[in-house]
Amino acid sequence: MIDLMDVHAGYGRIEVLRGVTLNVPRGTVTALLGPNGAGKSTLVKVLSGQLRSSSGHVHLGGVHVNDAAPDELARAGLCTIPEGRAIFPNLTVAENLRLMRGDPAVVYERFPKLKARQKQLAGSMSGGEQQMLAFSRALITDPAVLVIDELSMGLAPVIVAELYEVVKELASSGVTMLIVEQFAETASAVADQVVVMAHGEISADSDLATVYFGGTS
Amino acid sequence: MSRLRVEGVTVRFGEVTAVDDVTLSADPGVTGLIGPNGAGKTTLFDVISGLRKPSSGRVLLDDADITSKGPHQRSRLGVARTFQRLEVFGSLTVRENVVVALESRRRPAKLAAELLARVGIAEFADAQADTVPTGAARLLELARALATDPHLLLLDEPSSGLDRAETDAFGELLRQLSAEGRAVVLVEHDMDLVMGYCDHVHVLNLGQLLTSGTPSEIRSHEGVREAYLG
Amino acid sequence: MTALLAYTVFGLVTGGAYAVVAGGLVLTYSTSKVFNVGHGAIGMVMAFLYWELAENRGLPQWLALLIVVGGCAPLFGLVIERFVMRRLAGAPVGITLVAGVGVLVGLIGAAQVIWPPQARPVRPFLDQYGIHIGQSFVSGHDLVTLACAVLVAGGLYLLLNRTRTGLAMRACVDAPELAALYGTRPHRLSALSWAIGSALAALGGILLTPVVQLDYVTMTLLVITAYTAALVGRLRSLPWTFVGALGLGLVQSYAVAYLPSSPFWIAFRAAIPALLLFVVLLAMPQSPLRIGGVRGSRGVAVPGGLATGVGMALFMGVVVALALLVDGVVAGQLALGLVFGIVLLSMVLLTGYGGVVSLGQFTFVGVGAVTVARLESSSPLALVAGAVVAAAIGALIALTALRVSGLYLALATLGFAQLMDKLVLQSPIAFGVRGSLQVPRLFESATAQLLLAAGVFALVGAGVLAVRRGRLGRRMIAVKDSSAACATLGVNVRWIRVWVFSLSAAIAGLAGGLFAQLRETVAASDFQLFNNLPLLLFAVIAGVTSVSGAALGGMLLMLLPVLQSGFPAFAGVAVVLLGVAAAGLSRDPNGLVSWFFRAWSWRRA
Repeated sequence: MIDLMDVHAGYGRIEVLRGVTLNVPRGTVTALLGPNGAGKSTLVKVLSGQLRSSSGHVHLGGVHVNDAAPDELARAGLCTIPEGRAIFPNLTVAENLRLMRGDPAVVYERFPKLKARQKQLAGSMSGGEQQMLAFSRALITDPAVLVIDELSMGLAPVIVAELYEVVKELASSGVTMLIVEQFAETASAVADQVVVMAHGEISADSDLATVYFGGTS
Repeated sequence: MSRLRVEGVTVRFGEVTAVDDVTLSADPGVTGLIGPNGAGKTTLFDVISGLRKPSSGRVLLDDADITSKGPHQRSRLGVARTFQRLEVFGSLTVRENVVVALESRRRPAKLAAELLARVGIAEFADAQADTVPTGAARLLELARALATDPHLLLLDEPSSGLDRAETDAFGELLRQLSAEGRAVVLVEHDMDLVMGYCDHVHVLNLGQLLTSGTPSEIRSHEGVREAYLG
Repeated sequence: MTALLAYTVFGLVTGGAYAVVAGGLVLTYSTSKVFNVGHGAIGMVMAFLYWELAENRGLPQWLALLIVVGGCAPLFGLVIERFVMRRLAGAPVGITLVAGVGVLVGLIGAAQVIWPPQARPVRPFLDQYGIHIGQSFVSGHDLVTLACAVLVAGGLYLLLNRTRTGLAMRACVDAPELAALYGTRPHRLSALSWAIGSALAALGGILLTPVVQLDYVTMTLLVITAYTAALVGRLRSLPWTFVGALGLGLVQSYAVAYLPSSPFWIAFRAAIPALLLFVVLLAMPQSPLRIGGVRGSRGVAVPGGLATGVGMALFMGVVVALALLVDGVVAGQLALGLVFGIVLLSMVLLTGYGGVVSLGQFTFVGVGAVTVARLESSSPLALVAGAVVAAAIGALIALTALRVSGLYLALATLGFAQLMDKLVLQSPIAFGVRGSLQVPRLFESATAQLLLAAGVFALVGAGVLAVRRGRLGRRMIAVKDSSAACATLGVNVRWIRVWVFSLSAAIAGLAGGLFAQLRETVAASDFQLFNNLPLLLFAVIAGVTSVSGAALGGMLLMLLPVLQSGFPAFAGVAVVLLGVAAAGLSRDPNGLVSWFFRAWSWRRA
């Protein structure tokens, strides 16, 4: 479903992705792990159309999408949840959900906290609630492909667990997913395939403890 | 007395607490500051270097309260830093980048060549700074910070973009800086570097100080592994 | 008491018209992130078009209004968005501003060609109706204006809060990239915001015509008033913008009612929007230093000390040869071109190196000229005095605007220029009651004047290059690329700003003194506010990063009026071309001269 072939990309003269080849089969979940600066977020930007690759091929569902704009991809069924709090802080919770095109009832049922806060400005909620709201887009828009960048960043374990419950449900309902994470074990538990990235390339070494804590551990 | 002491620093962005009542200190030598993404490390650097005002808490340098001082005043007191997202002066040459820093401390401009050689990027001296590779730009930020002759040096992910040989050379440089009596605080994801060169390590998670200790204590700490591996 | 009530109503009426204009400005800016300096100019052209249809062609007023506000204006907004602004998406503030100034100047040129200067009365709406409040009469047009303001406020509220499109527009304010990931079409939203923005500029302009008269420049500069109101809402909040606009209207109305009517106070009233602009600026919170990302720009090569010396000697040689060849009239013209070149050198320092876009640089030229004229001395020291006074005023504006940067700072310079224009340059304080002053010349012959101008140009040019090579120049560029890094290296970013502003103002003031003694007579009309805008355009077109660009720009500036007097119809066309060229060239701050350099090095290669 997601096919990257020898993708190079970067900012200006600085190359971040140095030939990434990655395949996520339809209906499966791939966890992409790796240390900071490995190029994970750059990869997400290339997939979502925010950054044009300098060479290589990007296919989504068999369609060549190297030159597609982010909004075109989004309307075609790709749901990208970028890292950080991917919400509009100056809109209310209900307004954020209206922008996502879909029935908010699904979200309110899954995250009752958001229902209680629907009239509140999204930016005035806690980090965990903001991430729930951002993640709601994966629930409400019924995407064909879901790409999530650092869902657990800066969140307490309880909330991470709650969000990953939903990830599991979506996975079992057959959504193709690429989960980019630092929290290795949580993500690996859901994944059909675990891929480790380092220095802008897919690393052959898939033992995470080695990647994080060095060979001496 | 500690070179740097951060006391009860809290930083809030709206309802989100990025740094939550953190108290820690750093002495001459190399202090590691590690933690998963979003733990608040860079925000804490912004507070120490004066680019961001904390919501509460104090920053002390050699026991003097510098919380209300601006970034350029702190620089004059001996604080210098590098940036995780590079902040080199792109329109100037690599040498001129260092000269700007030297001049701000009224040090002779001819020291630039020496500093560039010291961090290992002498070959790029005349290149415009926005054209050099990431690794060289990181080392340029280090040279520029060193040009102010700091007592307290804050390095934000200095090794990302460096290859193995460059990383080893950088480690050696860390040892020298430590021997010169400077306090270096290192935010770093390369654990070999942290474990190999730090005298002391602080671990941040979710904005709070998770634990502090020697590298071997940190390595065997269960909570740290959990914070990273989830 | 009824008088107070009446003035309140009048204030609300004017404020309502301002609100319509400012609302359009905020909508466009917040959705497309491009500040439309030409907003007032669009309103001006559309008001002329309305006059054409309703008065000249005799269409019913409502039909003309509908055609202009509902058809021509939005269409025009779409065209500008599609062909100028969309190409500039994500460009630095300086570039979008210059493109906007290009559009503005182009529109003024077009208006002058299509509707040559003459009196153009416009009938107010519903002029047979009205109500009395005590002794005062509130006309039907006033009531229409109020009604329009209420309708616009209500309409914008519904659009932004009740429709998906409006919701998407608000989302774009905070995070346009994220909005794209949500599937909203950024280009379509931006186009819509330009269409609505232009329509509101047109409506506001037409409503204001009975008050401000149909005039190319006055209505164009309405953008400053709208900007002041918009600044109350930090350029994002429409409700606060409306509050700001109504407040401005009220203050102006009360000023008319209760301030004395001596010449100074009349000038003061006109300066109220600019004054309030500074009050709002002073109350702005300190903008945080931007962190993250390498910024840099490629300048043209900076010659070393020796090369500069040789270059300037060659330049002087050419000028001496020319001085021997040409007659007095041409020598005088060339001298004028070089004086303009010195003004542009001040912009090389400020804009080219310092990265600060100034929309008020010509004001310092005026300050220098007035100082020299008032001293009535033919000593070179008078020129120095002009530079010193200009530098002091430059430092003052830098200190006032310390808290702001980028777009806010550029617009502050325009506000400052308006303030100086109303309070000083166009008032008797500067040029006396007759509006002009005699200035003794340093040298009588035109040839000597040419050599003087060339000598000063060469010295200042060499000085600017020396600054660029030296400590201050490095710091200026460092501050431009990363203020945050500068601050952590111990550089006091604010003082650098003050230095750059004063030094640049000093050079402009020096040029002003030279200008005054060259002309022998200087008048208020030489220093009108509008002159600032072509100055910026010429600087950018010719090349704002090099001394040779300044020389070329100065010569072009000198040639423009020469061409205008030779071919009057050409004047407007030239201004249009100028606007188009600037909008097109603004991507490359090194300008035309760098093309010559490149062509040269290509030939040599």
